[in-house]
Amino acid sequence: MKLKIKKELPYLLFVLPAFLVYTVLTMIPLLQTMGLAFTNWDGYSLRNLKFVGFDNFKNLFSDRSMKSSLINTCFYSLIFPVLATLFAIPLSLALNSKMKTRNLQRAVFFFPSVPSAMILGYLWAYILAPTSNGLLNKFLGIFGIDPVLWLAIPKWAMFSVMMVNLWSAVGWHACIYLAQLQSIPAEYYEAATVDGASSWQRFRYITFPMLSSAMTVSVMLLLLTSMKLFDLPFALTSGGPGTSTTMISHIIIKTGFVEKSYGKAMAMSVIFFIFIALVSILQLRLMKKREVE
Amino acid sequence: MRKTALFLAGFMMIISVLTGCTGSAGKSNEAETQTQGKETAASDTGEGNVSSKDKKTISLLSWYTEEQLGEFLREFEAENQGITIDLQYVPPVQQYVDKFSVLVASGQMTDMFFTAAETKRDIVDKGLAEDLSSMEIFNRIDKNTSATYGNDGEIYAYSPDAWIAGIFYNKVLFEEAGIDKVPETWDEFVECFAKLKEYGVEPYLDYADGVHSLAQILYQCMVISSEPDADEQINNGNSTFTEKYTEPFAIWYNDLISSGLYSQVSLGLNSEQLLDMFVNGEVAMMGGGPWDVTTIENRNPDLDYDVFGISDKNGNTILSGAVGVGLSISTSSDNKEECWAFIEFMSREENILKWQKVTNNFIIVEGIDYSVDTVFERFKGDVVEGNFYLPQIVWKNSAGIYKELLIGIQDAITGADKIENIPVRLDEKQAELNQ
Repeated sequence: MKLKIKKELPYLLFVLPAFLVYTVLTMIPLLQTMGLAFTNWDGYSLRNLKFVGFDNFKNLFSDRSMKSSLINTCFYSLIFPVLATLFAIPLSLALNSKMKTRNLQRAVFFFPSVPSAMILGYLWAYILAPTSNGLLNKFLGIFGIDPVLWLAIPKWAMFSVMMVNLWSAVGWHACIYLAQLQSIPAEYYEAATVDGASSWQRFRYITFPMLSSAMTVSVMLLLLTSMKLFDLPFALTSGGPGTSTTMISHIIIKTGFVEKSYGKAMAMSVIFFIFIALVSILQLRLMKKREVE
Repeated sequence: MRKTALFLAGFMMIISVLTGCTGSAGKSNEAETQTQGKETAASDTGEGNVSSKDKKTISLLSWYTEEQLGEFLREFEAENQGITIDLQYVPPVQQYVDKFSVLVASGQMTDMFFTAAETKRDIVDKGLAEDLSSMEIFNRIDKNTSATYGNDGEIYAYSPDAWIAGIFYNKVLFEEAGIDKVPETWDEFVECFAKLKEYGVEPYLDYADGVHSLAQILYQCMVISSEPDADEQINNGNSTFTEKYTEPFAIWYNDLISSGLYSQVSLGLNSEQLLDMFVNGEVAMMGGGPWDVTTIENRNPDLDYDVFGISDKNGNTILSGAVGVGLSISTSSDNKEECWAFIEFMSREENILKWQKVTNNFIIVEGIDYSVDTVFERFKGDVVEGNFYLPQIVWKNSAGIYKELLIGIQDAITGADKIENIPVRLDEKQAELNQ
């Protein structure tokens, strides 16, 4: 037994710092949230804390803003990962080609993912300004197109959030696919070429199946970030106009920090946590099946 | 290996959870003791100077920028060599309110902060700020005015001024559109919209977070002018938002929104973009306050503009305005003496006058001779008469109701909801927040 502990101790000590950070910053708040979701905590003191059972969970989804944000989040989480994948895969193929400037191009396409979403939101608010002076509207004006109210009309506001996030995220996810592409043995393509396979056939029967493990990771990350989305709509549209770009995370923050209903906000967080966990598990299970060794 | 690791993991988690719960409860009890005890270090201080024995940094959550406050901070630090003030700026209004809420909830409150209308209720109800009523300056401020940030004789924030908002207008565009005088009634105001639109210029714009302002001002003129306690009646359950707000909102909507005179462009603008459009002559009118004057004159010194207040159909005017945001000392601060010294410093007459030049607000401290060297000079009499109001100061669940009002008005403009539903939504939100 002593020998066993002595043998395993170095490994445990290596893991300990990361484990402590994870426990303190993630596990403890998570457990406290789950506990406080069943109380009437007002966010200021634990005095007069009362157990209220499932009261905070009742009527969660009857709130108008909550319903709207749920629809927005589901819509965004379904559409955005598909769009991002559709753009990222061709981009990764282009960045994997034998262009002389491919290293520069990789840097250029990766760069938009570097600045924080808050900065991107404030920057794009000027590009997407709804008047004729907004940069994008000025560009469209060259072709005789009237100014578009990008952030002032609900459907365009959601489109704008997606567009900005797509611009930011595609390069990063293309890098995931790029890394996988570079691990595909060249012999497969050589053999296919010898057998007379076209470009599309090489992509369809070699490249695409071999990208499945990268796609599992990429789609999982896209799904998670889409469902948790907060900063970009906050900076770009403040969740508006109305609730057209309000996500569940905004409602949780509003319920807690603005309306001071911390118990209710924690109940929302618990439900949201369970929902995301279930979606992630389902997505992983479904996509892992199609992975090719 | 696995069993050992699992055992360690479980042990660490249990220890950590227990430590965390004990820690937060202890810290909470400590804060409550401070709140209940209402320690006031003020009596020890007297003057605005603190000895330089210990170097201290006091933090200040501010919605005024370094540009506006910097001179005062440096002067105070020069007088008090042991003190440095760490200014943490957050833009008003909603972002400041959100940041304030987060800091309070996380126990990270700064030593001093500015108390705004939207945070006043929480500060009073939760005992977040020290009682400053013993400060000499409050003997020179009208009791009703200083009660804005007070409760039962205690005062939680120091503010030497009040602000009034109005409608900025471009005099040249007005003239070119054939408008020869400022509107004195709501119907004349709507007529200005029509004339400017016909002339081919954007009549009026708000920024996205300010689209509720015209509807709210009309409510003030129509309802508060005859029932000054209308919002208190709503707070007490003797009336509802539906009873008081429906008619003014309906008039605003019918006259400006469904008529097509008010542009949906407002929903896509931020305050900076709106200011740029006004100073460049791309919009004839915009709502604003004294805080915009310096920016307007810096960006376009040649702009010929003025300001007016909105009235209802009968000419009743209640301007949007309130006592300016006030400086407060956090009950959880460990540097109360130093904070008190800073507020005493700011309450000196010469600094009140200097501060007035920064904010362009109206001084509410008696016995100070000053002039408002801006277009807002015309409202000096209204301030003296107390002819200003802001529902956010009075609402019981101010932050939540304000957010719901803003979202509701945006929904009405986009057509996502009917205008008559907005006051109903406010009542529903009130009921929810009162639970």
